[in-house]
Amino acid sequence: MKSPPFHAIFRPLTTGVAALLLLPPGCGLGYTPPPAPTSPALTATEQARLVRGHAIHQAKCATCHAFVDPSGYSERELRERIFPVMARKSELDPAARQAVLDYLIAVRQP
Amino acid sequence: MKSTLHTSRSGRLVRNFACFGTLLSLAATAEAGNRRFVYSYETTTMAAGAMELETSVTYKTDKGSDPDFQRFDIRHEFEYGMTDRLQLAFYFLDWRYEESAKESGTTTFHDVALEAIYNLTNPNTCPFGSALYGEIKGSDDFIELEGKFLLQKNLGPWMFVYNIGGAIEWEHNYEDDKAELMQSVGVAYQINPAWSVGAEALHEIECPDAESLGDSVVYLGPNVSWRKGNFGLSTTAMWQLTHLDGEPDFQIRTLFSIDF
Ligand code: HEC
Repeated sequence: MKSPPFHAIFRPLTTGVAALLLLPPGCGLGYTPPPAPTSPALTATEQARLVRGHAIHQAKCATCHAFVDPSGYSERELRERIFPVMARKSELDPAARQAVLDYLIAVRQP
Repeated sequence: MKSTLHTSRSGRLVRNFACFGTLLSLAATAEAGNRRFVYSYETTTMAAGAMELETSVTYKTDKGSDPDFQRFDIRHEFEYGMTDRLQLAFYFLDWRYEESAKESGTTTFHDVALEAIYNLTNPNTCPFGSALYGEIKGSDDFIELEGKFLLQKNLGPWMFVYNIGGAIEWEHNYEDDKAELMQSVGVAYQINPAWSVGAEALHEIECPDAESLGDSVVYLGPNVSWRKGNFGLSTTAMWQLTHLDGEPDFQIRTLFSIDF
């Protein structure tokens, strides 16, 4: 059997890839990180830190793996067992660490 | 407490501009540990200062034109994050073991190589990830230049990558040149942060000269990847879907990596 010509494989593949790239994020294919929650109980600084925590999570943590819902862990487990290891892997500075941890705890459903 | 994700059209526009801004200012960071795919590259690069040792073993067999054929290609690589966007790699020893109608079990040094991956957009903060890839490979007998454009889309636990590029090689004391075009795709589903499963496909085509294209060879097969702590292991086995006698019908590649 003769192998197919280049364009016969190239065209459908690149069309499929282009369509895929244009899909909006979080289009029902899985759980994406929720945005930083808002609450009147938070000060402006605390609110800004949560927004920053969400952004850092996306830029740093998500490069290695998709969002892991923090609701699956106790707050203590997150703070003491998981987060220190992951923050080191992401090479976060102390302020960024605090922001991501606050964000994870804020979106965690107890 | 949970709020809903509200993406307005203007919000999207702002985000796209922001991505373009990051692309230009190169301010954002991107990093990754061990690779999931073994034939395709992801667009994310290591963090500045991060280091990794990686060994890749590719086994090829079942050539229609040579029933005795089997070959192991082994590459040892040191990867380093120069900046948060630029990752360099030095392949300090690439060697192969081959059995064929012509060779009866010989081990030969093949080449050393330098590779660079430059991340343009981060797939988690932009609508999709993109990066440029370049490699120069050679020995005392040949030199090869390879370039690729890498794309990546992340959708929740799903990751899609697409690579397209080409290579040009001068062999036999740099006299004869030949070129090859390639494209590859990878799909992976993350079961949890440690395990992911998926599939990879590879399409290669030789270009004997600038005007004509040779025959296409297409491979497809399953992929699995596992990571724990600083250690990573990924493997893909692929079967030839086309029927080119001169190309192996089966190949499997495994990557072992250690971050430090
Ligand atoms: C360099 C890659 C890398 C980065 C960066 C990274 N992780 Fe991970 N993460 C892993 C790997 C690998 C695992 C699973 C295996 C293990 O525990 O080593 C994991 C596991 C997890 C788990 C599940 C732990 C468990 O025991 O069930 C959570 C939650 C998590 N990561 C959150 C994060 C957060 C939050 C960040 C950012 C601060 C982050 N990760 C950054 C690689 C990474």
